[in-house]
Amino acid sequence: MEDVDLIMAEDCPLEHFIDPLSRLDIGRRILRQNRLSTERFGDAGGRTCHEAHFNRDEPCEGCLFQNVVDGGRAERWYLADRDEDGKPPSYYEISLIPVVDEDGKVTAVQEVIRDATATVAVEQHLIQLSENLGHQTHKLRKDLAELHKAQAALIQTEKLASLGKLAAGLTHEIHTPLGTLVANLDVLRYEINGMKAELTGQDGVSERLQRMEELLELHDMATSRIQTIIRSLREFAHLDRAVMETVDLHEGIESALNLLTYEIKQRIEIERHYGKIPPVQCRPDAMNQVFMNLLQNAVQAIPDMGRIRIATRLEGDGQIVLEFEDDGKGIPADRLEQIFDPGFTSKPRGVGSGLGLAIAHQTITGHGGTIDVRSKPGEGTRFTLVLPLVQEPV
Amino acid sequence: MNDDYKPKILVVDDEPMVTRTLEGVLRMDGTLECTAVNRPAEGLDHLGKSQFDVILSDFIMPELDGLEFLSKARELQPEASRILLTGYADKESAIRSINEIGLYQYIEKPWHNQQLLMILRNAAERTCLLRRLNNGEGSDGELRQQIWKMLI
Repeated sequence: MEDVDLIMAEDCPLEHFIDPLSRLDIGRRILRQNRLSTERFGDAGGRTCHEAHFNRDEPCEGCLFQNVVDGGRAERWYLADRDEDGKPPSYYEISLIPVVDEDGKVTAVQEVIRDATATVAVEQHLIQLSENLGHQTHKLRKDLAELHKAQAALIQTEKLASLGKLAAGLTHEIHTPLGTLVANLDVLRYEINGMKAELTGQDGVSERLQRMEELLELHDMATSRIQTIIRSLREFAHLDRAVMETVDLHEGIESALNLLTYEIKQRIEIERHYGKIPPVQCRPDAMNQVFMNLLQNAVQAIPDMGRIRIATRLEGDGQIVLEFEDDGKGIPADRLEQIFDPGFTSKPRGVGSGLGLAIAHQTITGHGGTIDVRSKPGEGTRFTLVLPLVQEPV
Repeated sequence: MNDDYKPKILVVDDEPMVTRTLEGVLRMDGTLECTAVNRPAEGLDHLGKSQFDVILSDFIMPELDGLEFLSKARELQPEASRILLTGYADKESAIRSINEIGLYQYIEKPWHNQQLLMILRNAAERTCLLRRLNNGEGSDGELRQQIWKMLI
Protein backbone atom coordinates (compact mmCIF):
# COMPACT_ATOMS: atom_id res chain seq x y z
CA MET A 1 0.00 0.00 0.00
CA GLU A 2 3.06 2.17 -0.18
CA ASP A 3 2.07 3.63 -3.49
CA VAL A 4 -1.19 4.77 -2.02
CA ASP A 5 0.57 6.73 0.59
CA LEU A 6 2.97 8.03 -1.99
CA ILE A 7 0.27 9.37 -4.28
CA MET A 8 -1.57 11.12 -1.52
CA ALA A 9 1.48 12.07 0.53
CA GLU A 10 1.91 15.62 1.74
CA ASP A 11 4.73 16.18 -0.74
CA CYS A 12 2.95 14.66 -3.69
CA PRO A 13 2.07 17.33 -6.28
CA LEU A 14 -1.45 15.94 -6.45
CA GLU A 15 -1.95 17.17 -2.89
CA HIS A 16 -2.08 20.64 -4.41
CA PHE A 17 -4.04 19.61 -7.49
CA ILE A 18 -6.52 22.16 -8.88
CA ASP A 19 -9.54 19.85 -8.35
CA PRO A 20 -10.65 17.83 -5.33
CA LEU A 21 -9.12 14.35 -5.30
CA SER A 22 -10.22 11.41 -3.19
CA ARG A 23 -8.96 7.87 -2.87
CA LEU A 24 -11.85 5.44 -2.46
CA ASP A 25 -11.85 1.81 -1.48
CA ILE A 26 -13.81 -0.55 -3.63
CA GLY A 27 -16.82 -0.05 -1.36
CA ARG A 28 -16.94 3.68 -2.31
CA ARG A 29 -15.60 4.76 1.06
CA ILE A 30 -13.15 7.61 1.16
CA LEU A 31 -9.67 6.58 2.21
CA ARG A 32 -7.84 9.82 1.68
CA GLN A 33 -8.43 13.33 0.34
CA ASN A 34 -6.18 16.03 -1.04
CA ARG A 35 -6.17 19.48 0.44
CA LEU A 36 -8.84 20.94 -1.82
CA SER A 37 -11.19 18.03 -1.15
CA THR A 38 -10.81 18.54 2.57
CA GLU A 39 -11.39 22.27 2.18
CA ARG A 40 -14.47 21.72 0.07
CA PHE A 41 -16.06 18.66 1.74
CA GLY A 42 -14.46 18.62 5.18
CA ASP A 43 -12.78 15.52 6.58
CA ALA A 44 -14.70 12.82 4.77
CA GLY A 45 -12.60 9.80 5.72
CA GLY A 46 -14.72 6.65 5.99
CA ARG A 47 -17.80 8.19 4.40
CA THR A 48 -19.03 7.16 1.00
CA CYS A 49 -18.34 9.49 -1.91
CA HIS A 50 -22.00 10.17 -2.71
CA GLU A 51 -22.65 11.01 0.91
CA ALA A 52 -19.57 13.16 1.41
CA HIS A 53 -19.62 14.99 -1.90
CA PHE A 54 -23.29 15.24 -2.82
CA ASN A 55 -25.26 14.62 0.35
CA ARG A 56 -26.91 11.53 -1.05
CA ASP A 57 -27.90 8.29 0.61
CA GLU A 58 -27.63 6.27 -2.58
CA PRO A 59 -24.94 6.22 -5.27
CA CYS A 60 -25.49 9.01 -7.79
CA GLU A 61 -27.49 8.30 -10.96
CA GLY A 62 -25.30 7.16 -13.79
CA CYS A 63 -22.36 6.40 -11.51
CA LEU A 64 -19.68 4.35 -13.24
CA PHE A 65 -17.79 3.36 -10.09
CA GLN A 66 -18.71 -0.30 -10.36
CA ASN A 67 -17.58 -0.39 -14.00
CA VAL A 68 -14.20 0.88 -12.95
CA VAL A 69 -13.89 -1.70 -10.20
CA ASP A 70 -15.08 -4.57 -12.45
CA GLY A 71 -13.36 -3.56 -15.64
CA GLY A 72 -10.18 -2.04 -14.32
CA ARG A 73 -10.53 0.85 -16.77
CA ALA A 74 -10.79 4.55 -16.05
CA GLU A 75 -14.16 6.19 -16.66
CA ARG A 76 -15.43 9.74 -16.87
CA TRP A 77 -19.01 10.91 -16.53
CA TYR A 78 -21.05 14.00 -15.84
CA LEU A 79 -23.32 14.45 -12.91
CA ALA A 80 -26.07 17.06 -12.69
CA ASP A 81 -26.48 18.07 -9.06
CA ARG A 82 -29.82 19.74 -8.53
CA ASP A 83 -30.60 21.97 -5.59
CA GLU A 84 -34.07 21.54 -4.33
CA ASP A 85 -35.03 25.19 -4.70
CA GLY A 86 -35.24 24.88 -8.48
CA LYS A 87 -32.07 26.74 -9.36
CA PRO A 88 -30.22 25.58 -12.46
CA PRO A 89 -28.23 22.46 -11.64
CA SER A 90 -24.49 22.39 -11.12
CA TYR A 91 -22.52 20.00 -13.29
CA TYR A 92 -19.55 17.91 -12.26
CA GLU A 93 -17.16 15.98 -14.40
CA ILE A 94 -16.21 12.94 -12.39
CA SER A 95 -13.18 10.90 -13.40
CA LEU A 96 -12.52 7.55 -11.80
CA ILE A 97 -9.12 5.94 -12.20
CA PRO A 98 -8.54 2.38 -10.94
CA VAL A 99 -5.61 1.64 -8.69
CA VAL A 100 -4.43 -1.87 -9.64
CA ASP A 101 -2.20 -4.27 -7.72
CA GLU A 102 0.42 -6.62 -9.16
CA ASP A 103 -2.20 -9.25 -10.00
CA GLY A 104 -4.24 -6.71 -11.93
CA LYS A 105 -6.88 -6.50 -9.27
CA VAL A 106 -8.50 -3.17 -8.52
CA THR A 107 -7.74 -2.29 -4.96
CA ALA A 108 -8.87 1.28 -4.88
CA VAL A 109 -10.25 4.04 -7.11
CA GLN A 110 -8.90 7.51 -7.52
CA GLU A 111 -11.66 10.06 -7.93
CA VAL A 112 -11.33 13.54 -9.47
CA ILE A 113 -14.29 15.89 -9.20
CA ARG A 114 -14.18 18.87 -11.52
CA ASP A 115 -16.82 21.58 -11.47
CA ALA A 116 -18.04 21.60 -15.06
CA THR A 117 -21.02 23.93 -14.63
CA ALA A 118 -19.43 26.68 -16.72
CA THR A 119 -18.33 24.24 -19.44
CA VAL A 120 -21.74 22.63 -19.58
CA ALA A 121 -23.40 26.04 -19.72
CA VAL A 122 -21.18 26.97 -22.67
CA GLU A 123 -21.90 23.63 -24.28
CA GLN A 124 -25.62 24.06 -23.82
CA HIS A 125 -25.39 27.55 -25.20
CA LEU A 126 -23.52 26.13 -28.20
CA ILE A 127 -26.14 23.45 -28.68
CA GLN A 128 -28.83 26.11 -28.51
CA LEU A 129 -26.95 28.25 -31.01
CA SER A 130 -26.45 25.32 -33.31
CA GLU A 131 -30.15 24.48 -33.09
CA ASN A 132 -31.06 28.08 -33.87
CA LEU A 133 -28.63 28.01 -36.74
CA GLY A 134 -30.28 24.83 -37.96
CA HIS A 135 -33.69 26.50 -37.83
CA GLN A 136 -32.39 29.52 -39.65
CA THR A 137 -30.69 27.41 -42.30
CA HIS A 138 -33.91 25.48 -42.77
CA LYS A 139 -35.86 28.72 -43.11
CA LEU A 140 -33.31 30.11 -45.56
CA ARG A 141 -33.50 26.91 -47.58
CA LYS A 142 -37.27 27.24 -47.66
CA ASP A 143 -37.04 30.91 -48.62
CA LEU A 144 -34.56 30.00 -51.32
CA ALA A 145 -36.89 27.33 -52.70
CA GLU A 146 -39.73 29.87 -52.66
CA LEU A 147 -37.51 32.33 -54.48
CA HIS A 148 -36.62 29.67 -57.04
CA LYS A 149 -40.31 29.06 -57.57
CA ALA A 150 -41.05 32.75 -57.84
CA GLN A 151 -38.20 33.09 -60.29
CA ALA A 152 -39.51 30.17 -62.29
CA ALA A 153 -42.94 31.77 -62.37
CA LEU A 154 -41.46 35.09 -63.46
CA ILE A 155 -39.47 33.46 -66.23
CA GLN A 156 -42.63 31.67 -67.25
CA THR A 157 -44.72 34.83 -67.23
CA GLU A 158 -42.06 36.51 -69.31
CA LYS A 159 -41.96 33.53 -71.64
CA LEU A 160 -45.74 33.52 -71.97
CA ALA A 161 -45.79 37.23 -72.64
CA SER A 162 -43.21 36.80 -75.40
CA LEU A 163 -45.06 33.78 -76.71
CA GLY A 164 -48.22 35.88 -76.77
CA LYS A 165 -46.48 38.61 -78.74
CA LEU A 166 -44.93 36.07 -81.04
CA ALA A 167 -48.27 34.37 -81.56
CA ALA A 168 -50.00 37.68 -82.33
CA GLY A 169 -47.33 38.68 -84.84
CA LEU A 170 -47.13 35.22 -86.34
CA THR A 171 -50.88 34.97 -86.63
CA HIS A 172 -51.07 38.22 -88.51
CA GLU A 173 -48.18 37.37 -90.79
CA ILE A 174 -49.46 33.90 -91.59
CA HIS A 175 -53.07 34.88 -92.11
CA THR A 176 -52.37 36.80 -95.31
CA PRO A 177 -50.67 33.96 -97.22
CA LEU A 178 -53.02 31.46 -95.62
CA GLY A 179 -56.05 33.49 -96.71
CA THR A 180 -54.65 33.49 -100.22
CA LEU A 181 -54.12 29.73 -100.20
CA VAL A 182 -57.56 28.94 -98.84
CA ALA A 183 -59.35 31.32 -101.20
CA ASN A 184 -57.45 30.17 -104.27
CA LEU A 185 -58.24 26.53 -103.68
CA ASP A 186 -61.89 27.38 -104.36
CA VAL A 187 -60.98 29.23 -107.52
CA LEU A 188 -58.71 26.42 -108.69
CA ARG A 189 -61.46 23.88 -108.11
CA TYR A 190 -63.85 26.08 -110.03
CA GLU A 191 -61.40 26.34 -112.94
CA ILE A 192 -60.73 22.61 -112.95
CA ASN A 193 -64.45 21.91 -113.01
CA GLY A 194 -64.71 24.27 -115.94
CA MET A 195 -61.93 22.44 -117.77
CA LYS A 196 -63.54 19.13 -116.97
CA ALA A 197 -66.72 20.19 -118.66
CA GLU A 198 -64.86 21.36 -121.73
CA LEU A 199 -62.23 18.65 -122.07
CA THR A 200 -64.08 15.47 -121.13
CA GLY A 201 -63.39 12.71 -123.57
CA GLN A 202 -59.96 13.90 -124.70
CA ASP A 203 -57.16 11.36 -124.26
CA GLY A 204 -55.46 11.38 -120.89
CA VAL A 205 -57.09 14.63 -119.86
CA SER A 206 -59.61 13.24 -117.43
CA GLU A 207 -56.87 11.26 -115.62
CA ARG A 208 -54.85 14.44 -115.26
CA LEU A 209 -57.88 16.32 -114.03
CA GLN A 210 -58.56 13.51 -111.57
CA ARG A 211 -55.04 13.84 -110.19
CA MET A 212 -55.41 17.60 -109.94
CA GLU A 213 -58.57 17.14 -107.92
CA GLU A 214 -56.78 14.73 -105.59
CA LEU A 215 -54.06 17.29 -105.12
CA LEU A 216 -56.67 19.88 -104.31
CA GLU A 217 -58.03 17.57 -101.61
CA LEU A 218 -54.55 17.32 -100.15
CA HIS A 219 -54.13 21.07 -100.27
CA ASP A 220 -57.46 21.47 -98.52
CA MET A 221 -56.28 19.19 -95.73
CA ALA A 222 -52.95 20.96 -95.50
CA THR A 223 -54.44 24.42 -95.27
CA SER A 224 -56.98 23.41 -92.68
CA ARG A 225 -54.15 21.84 -90.69
CA ILE A 226 -52.29 25.16 -90.78
CA GLN A 227 -55.44 26.94 -89.69
CA THR A 228 -55.82 24.56 -86.75
CA ILE A 229 -52.23 25.12 -85.67
CA ILE A 230 -52.57 28.88 -85.83
CA ARG A 231 -55.82 28.75 -83.92
CA SER A 232 -54.20 26.53 -81.29
CA LEU A 233 -51.28 28.87 -80.98
CA ARG A 234 -53.61 31.80 -80.40
CA GLU A 235 -55.75 29.73 -78.08
CA PHE A 236 -52.71 28.49 -76.22
CA ALA A 237 -51.04 31.83 -75.71
CA HIS A 238 -54.44 33.35 -74.96
CA LEU A 239 -52.79 36.56 -76.08
CA ASP A 240 -54.37 39.00 -73.67
CA ARG A 241 -56.13 36.66 -71.29
CA ALA A 242 -53.98 36.41 -68.16
CA VAL A 243 -56.90 36.85 -65.79
CA MET A 244 -59.22 34.34 -64.16
CA GLU A 245 -61.74 32.85 -66.52
CA THR A 246 -64.14 29.98 -66.50
CA VAL A 247 -63.01 27.71 -69.30
CA ASP A 248 -63.39 24.25 -70.76
CA LEU A 249 -60.22 22.39 -69.75
CA HIS A 250 -60.62 19.91 -72.62
CA GLU A 251 -60.07 22.77 -75.06
CA GLY A 252 -56.81 23.64 -73.33
CA ILE A 253 -55.64 20.02 -73.44
CA GLU A 254 -56.55 19.79 -77.13
CA SER A 255 -54.71 22.97 -78.02
CA ALA A 256 -51.60 21.66 -76.24
CA LEU A 257 -51.95 18.36 -78.13
CA ASN A 258 -52.28 20.26 -81.39
CA LEU A 259 -49.04 22.08 -80.72
CA LEU A 260 -47.37 18.73 -80.05
CA THR A 261 -48.68 17.12 -83.25
CA TYR A 262 -45.23 17.12 -84.77
CA GLU A 263 -43.72 15.27 -81.82
CA ILE A 264 -46.62 12.88 -81.43
CA LYS A 265 -46.85 12.06 -85.13
CA GLN A 266 -47.89 8.50 -85.78
CA ARG A 267 -45.77 7.02 -83.01
CA ILE A 268 -47.90 7.87 -80.01
CA GLU A 269 -51.51 6.96 -79.61
CA ILE A 270 -53.55 9.49 -77.64
CA GLU A 271 -56.29 7.85 -75.61
CA ARG A 272 -58.94 10.31 -74.44
CA HIS A 273 -61.22 9.39 -71.59
CA TYR A 274 -62.92 12.73 -71.22
CA GLY A 275 -65.64 12.77 -68.61
CA LYS A 276 -68.40 15.30 -68.37
CA ILE A 277 -66.75 18.16 -66.53
CA PRO A 278 -68.17 21.64 -66.11
CA PRO A 279 -66.11 24.71 -67.07
CA VAL A 280 -63.43 25.42 -64.48
CA GLN A 281 -62.41 28.77 -63.09
CA CYS A 282 -58.67 29.25 -63.63
CA ARG A 283 -55.97 31.24 -65.36
CA PRO A 284 -56.24 29.60 -68.78
CA ASP A 285 -52.77 30.60 -69.96
CA ALA A 286 -51.11 29.07 -66.92
CA MET A 287 -53.33 26.00 -67.02
CA ASN A 288 -52.56 25.39 -70.69
CA GLN A 289 -48.88 25.67 -69.86
CA VAL A 290 -49.35 22.91 -67.27
CA PHE A 291 -51.02 20.64 -69.85
CA MET A 292 -48.26 21.45 -72.30
CA ASN A 293 -45.51 20.67 -69.78
CA LEU A 294 -47.07 17.38 -68.70
CA LEU A 295 -47.82 16.23 -72.24
CA GLN A 296 -44.39 17.23 -73.47
CA ASN A 297 -42.78 15.22 -70.66
CA ALA A 298 -45.00 12.27 -71.54
CA VAL A 299 -44.04 12.50 -75.21
CA GLN A 300 -40.36 12.73 -74.35
CA ALA A 301 -40.63 9.77 -71.97
CA ILE A 302 -41.73 7.52 -74.83
CA PRO A 303 -38.69 6.55 -76.85
CA ASP A 304 -40.44 4.69 -79.67
CA MET A 305 -44.06 3.70 -80.02
CA GLY A 306 -46.34 4.34 -77.10
CA ARG A 307 -49.55 5.57 -75.66
CA ILE A 308 -50.64 8.61 -73.68
CA ARG A 309 -53.85 8.32 -71.75
CA ILE A 310 -55.72 11.45 -70.71
CA ALA A 311 -58.65 11.04 -68.37
CA THR A 312 -60.90 13.67 -66.81
CA ARG A 313 -63.74 13.33 -64.37
CA LEU A 314 -65.82 15.22 -61.86
CA GLU A 315 -65.63 13.86 -58.33
CA GLY A 316 -68.57 13.78 -55.96
CA ASP A 317 -67.06 16.54 -53.85
CA GLY A 318 -67.09 18.92 -56.80
CA GLN A 319 -63.41 18.57 -57.63
CA ILE A 320 -62.03 17.98 -61.10
CA VAL A 321 -59.56 15.15 -61.54
CA LEU A 322 -57.23 15.12 -64.54
CA GLU A 323 -54.89 12.24 -65.26
CA PHE A 324 -52.00 12.25 -67.70
CA GLU A 325 -50.44 8.84 -68.08
CA ASP A 326 -47.74 7.58 -70.40
CA ASP A 327 -46.26 4.13 -70.90
CA GLY A 328 -42.75 5.53 -71.29
CA LYS A 329 -39.56 4.85 -69.44
CA GLY A 330 -40.76 5.99 -66.01
CA ILE A 331 -38.94 7.74 -63.19
CA PRO A 332 -36.70 5.95 -60.66
CA ALA A 333 -38.11 6.00 -57.11
CA ASP A 334 -35.17 7.99 -55.72
CA ARG A 335 -35.83 10.80 -58.19
CA LEU A 336 -39.58 10.92 -57.79
CA GLU A 337 -39.38 13.22 -54.80
CA GLN A 338 -37.26 15.77 -56.61
CA ILE A 339 -39.17 16.09 -59.84
CA PHE A 340 -41.17 19.12 -58.69
CA ASP A 341 -38.03 20.94 -57.53
CA PRO A 342 -37.04 23.89 -59.67
CA GLY A 343 -33.97 23.11 -61.70
CA PHE A 344 -34.40 19.34 -61.57
CA THR A 345 -34.17 17.73 -64.98
CA SER A 346 -33.26 14.33 -66.29
CA LYS A 347 -33.22 15.54 -69.85
CA PRO A 348 -30.04 16.28 -71.78
CA ARG A 349 -28.69 19.81 -71.56
CA GLY A 350 -30.75 22.15 -73.67
CA VAL A 351 -33.80 19.92 -73.82
CA GLY A 352 -35.38 20.71 -70.47
CA SER A 353 -35.24 23.86 -68.42
CA GLY A 354 -35.92 21.88 -65.26
CA LEU A 355 -38.79 24.25 -64.61
CA GLY A 356 -41.67 22.50 -66.32
CA LEU A 357 -42.90 20.45 -63.41
CA ALA A 358 -42.00 23.11 -60.85
CA ILE A 359 -44.22 25.49 -62.78
CA ALA A 360 -46.95 22.87 -63.06
CA HIS A 361 -46.76 22.28 -59.32
CA GLN A 362 -46.88 25.96 -58.53
CA THR A 363 -49.75 26.62 -60.91
CA ILE A 364 -51.86 23.77 -59.62
CA THR A 365 -51.27 24.51 -55.93
CA GLY A 366 -51.78 28.19 -56.72
CA HIS A 367 -55.24 27.22 -57.95
CA GLY A 368 -55.94 25.43 -54.68
CA GLY A 369 -55.36 22.02 -56.26
CA THR A 370 -52.90 19.17 -55.92
CA ILE A 371 -50.57 17.40 -58.31
CA ASP A 372 -49.27 13.92 -57.62
CA VAL A 373 -47.04 11.56 -59.49
CA ARG A 374 -46.77 7.79 -59.63
CA SER A 375 -44.15 6.09 -61.67
CA LYS A 376 -42.47 2.77 -62.25
CA PRO A 377 -39.31 2.53 -64.29
CA GLY A 378 -40.06 0.67 -67.49
CA GLU A 379 -43.82 0.92 -67.07
CA GLY A 380 -44.63 4.60 -67.22
CA THR A 381 -45.68 7.64 -65.27
CA ARG A 382 -49.00 9.04 -64.20
CA PHE A 383 -49.65 12.59 -63.05
CA THR A 384 -52.90 13.20 -61.23
CA LEU A 385 -54.21 16.74 -60.92
CA VAL A 386 -57.06 17.65 -58.62
CA LEU A 387 -58.61 21.08 -59.09
CA PRO A 388 -61.44 22.89 -57.41
CA LEU A 389 -64.19 24.09 -59.76
CA VAL A 390 -64.18 27.59 -58.36
CA GLN A 391 -61.35 29.63 -56.89
CA GLU A 392 -61.63 30.85 -53.32
CA PRO A 393 -61.85 34.64 -53.30
CA VAL A 394 -58.51 36.09 -52.19
CA MET B 1 -81.29 46.16 -107.64
CA ASN B 2 -81.33 45.90 -111.38
CA ASP B 3 -80.65 42.30 -112.40
CA ASP B 4 -78.11 43.32 -115.01
CA TYR B 5 -76.32 45.65 -112.69
CA LYS B 6 -73.01 44.36 -111.37
CA PRO B 7 -72.20 45.98 -108.02
CA LYS B 8 -68.78 47.63 -107.99
CA ILE B 9 -66.32 46.52 -105.35
CA LEU B 10 -63.11 48.40 -104.56
CA VAL B 11 -60.48 46.18 -102.96
CA VAL B 12 -57.47 47.71 -101.21
CA ASP B 13 -54.69 45.54 -99.78
CA ASP B 14 -50.96 46.21 -99.83
CA GLU B 15 -50.33 42.55 -100.64
CA PRO B 16 -50.66 41.75 -104.37
CA MET B 17 -51.08 38.15 -103.26
CA VAL B 18 -54.38 39.09 -101.65
CA THR B 19 -55.69 41.48 -104.29
CA ARG B 20 -55.01 39.03 -107.10
CA THR B 21 -56.70 36.27 -105.13
CA LEU B 22 -59.77 38.40 -104.46
CA GLU B 23 -59.94 39.35 -108.13
CA GLY B 24 -59.95 35.65 -108.90
CA VAL B 25 -62.65 34.88 -106.36
CA LEU B 26 -64.89 37.69 -107.63
CA ARG B 27 -64.29 36.68 -111.25
CA MET B 28 -65.29 33.13 -110.38
CA ASP B 29 -68.47 34.38 -108.77
CA GLY B 30 -69.24 36.63 -111.70
CA THR B 31 -71.91 38.74 -110.03
CA LEU B 32 -69.62 41.51 -108.80
CA GLU B 33 -67.23 43.85 -110.56
CA CYS B 34 -63.84 44.16 -108.91
CA THR B 35 -61.28 46.92 -108.90
CA ALA B 36 -58.26 46.00 -106.83
CA VAL B 37 -55.33 48.23 -105.85
CA ASN B 38 -52.31 47.82 -103.59
CA ARG B 39 -51.97 51.39 -102.37
CA PRO B 40 -54.64 53.25 -100.37
CA ALA B 41 -53.84 56.46 -102.28
CA GLU B 42 -54.75 54.68 -105.52
CA GLY B 43 -57.98 53.58 -103.88
CA LEU B 44 -58.84 57.18 -102.99
CA ASP B 45 -58.10 58.18 -106.60
CA HIS B 46 -60.62 55.63 -107.83
CA LEU B 47 -63.19 56.80 -105.30
CA GLY B 48 -62.70 60.34 -106.54
CA LYS B 49 -63.40 59.29 -110.13
CA SER B 50 -66.18 56.71 -110.07
CA GLN B 51 -68.90 55.36 -107.85
CA PHE B 52 -68.41 52.15 -105.84
CA ASP B 53 -70.93 50.12 -103.88
CA VAL B 54 -68.59 48.34 -101.51
CA ILE B 55 -65.11 49.21 -100.28
CA LEU B 56 -63.11 46.30 -98.90
CA SER B 57 -59.87 47.26 -97.20
CA ASP B 58 -57.00 45.51 -95.46
CA PHE B 59 -56.25 46.71 -91.92
CA ILE B 60 -52.49 47.07 -91.65
CA MET B 61 -50.93 48.84 -94.62
CA PRO B 62 -47.72 50.87 -94.71
CA GLU B 63 -48.98 54.22 -96.04
CA LEU B 64 -52.42 54.52 -94.54
CA ASP B 65 -54.02 51.93 -92.28
CA GLY B 66 -57.36 50.44 -93.13
CA LEU B 67 -59.31 52.51 -90.61
CA GLU B 68 -57.83 55.80 -91.83
CA PHE B 69 -58.40 54.81 -95.43
CA LEU B 70 -62.02 53.86 -94.80
CA SER B 71 -62.62 57.13 -92.90
CA LYS B 72 -61.40 59.05 -95.94
CA ALA B 73 -63.45 56.82 -98.20
CA ARG B 74 -66.50 57.62 -96.13
CA GLU B 75 -65.99 61.33 -96.80
CA LEU B 76 -65.75 60.69 -100.54
CA GLN B 77 -68.59 58.20 -100.87
CA PRO B 78 -70.66 58.09 -97.67
CA GLU B 79 -73.22 55.66 -99.07
CA ALA B 80 -70.74 52.95 -100.05
CA SER B 81 -70.58 50.07 -97.54
CA ARG B 82 -67.20 49.73 -95.86
CA ILE B 83 -65.67 46.39 -94.94
CA LEU B 84 -62.43 45.74 -93.09
CA LEU B 85 -60.49 42.58 -93.99
CA THR B 86 -57.86 41.81 -91.41
CA GLY B 87 -55.38 39.20 -90.27
CA TYR B 88 -54.84 41.08 -87.06
CA ALA B 89 -55.69 39.08 -83.97
CA ASP B 90 -56.97 41.97 -81.89
CA LYS B 91 -60.65 41.44 -82.41
CA GLU B 92 -61.71 43.91 -79.75
CA SER B 93 -60.15 46.99 -81.27
CA ALA B 94 -61.46 45.95 -84.68
CA ILE B 95 -64.98 45.67 -83.33
CA ARG B 96 -64.62 49.05 -81.64
CA SER B 97 -63.68 50.55 -84.97
CA ILE B 98 -66.80 49.12 -86.55
CA ASN B 99 -68.77 51.44 -84.31
CA GLU B 100 -66.39 54.36 -84.51
CA ILE B 101 -66.16 54.70 -88.27
CA GLY B 102 -69.37 52.98 -89.22
CA LEU B 103 -68.05 49.78 -90.74
CA TYR B 104 -70.56 47.52 -92.40
CA GLN B 105 -68.57 44.38 -91.58
CA TYR B 106 -65.33 43.04 -90.25
CA ILE B 107 -63.86 39.92 -91.87
CA GLU B 108 -60.94 37.93 -90.56
CA LYS B 109 -58.25 36.38 -92.70
CA PRO B 110 -58.26 33.61 -93.70
CA TRP B 111 -61.76 34.24 -94.99
CA HIS B 112 -64.31 31.80 -96.29
CA ASN B 113 -65.03 32.58 -99.95
CA GLN B 114 -68.77 31.94 -99.92
CA GLN B 115 -69.17 33.95 -96.74
CA LEU B 116 -67.16 36.79 -98.16
CA LEU B 117 -69.23 36.82 -101.36
CA MET B 118 -72.45 36.84 -99.41
CA ILE B 119 -71.28 39.74 -97.27
CA LEU B 120 -70.22 41.66 -100.38
CA ARG B 121 -73.61 41.10 -102.06
CA ASN B 122 -75.52 42.17 -98.94
CA ALA B 123 -73.31 45.20 -98.55
CA ALA B 124 -73.96 46.18 -102.17
CA GLU B 125 -77.68 45.75 -101.66
CA ARG B 126 -77.58 47.99 -98.61
CA THR B 127 -75.75 50.66 -100.60
CA CYS B 128 -78.34 50.54 -103.40
CA LEU B 129 -81.15 50.84 -100.87
CA LEU B 130 -79.49 53.85 -99.29
CA ARG B 131 -79.02 55.51 -102.66
CA ARG B 132 -82.62 54.95 -103.62
CA LEU B 133 -83.78 56.47 -100.36
CA ASN B 134 -81.48 59.44 -100.78
CA ASN B 135 -82.77 59.93 -104.29
CA GLY B 136 -86.19 60.59 -102.84
CA GLU B 137 -87.79 57.25 -103.59
CA GLY B 138 -89.27 57.09 -100.08
CA SER B 139 -92.61 58.94 -100.11
CA ASP B 140 -92.81 59.89 -96.42
CA GLY B 141 -89.93 62.14 -95.29
CA GLU B 142 -90.08 61.10 -91.66
CA LEU B 143 -90.04 57.40 -92.50
CA ARG B 144 -87.08 58.00 -94.74
CA GLN B 145 -85.21 59.59 -91.88
CA GLN B 146 -85.94 56.61 -89.66
CA ILE B 147 -84.76 54.09 -92.19
CA TRP B 148 -81.68 56.17 -92.85
CA LYS B 149 -80.90 56.21 -89.12
CA MET B 150 -81.49 52.49 -88.88
CA LEU B 151 -79.18 51.75 -91.72
CA ILE B 152 -76.32 53.94 -90.54
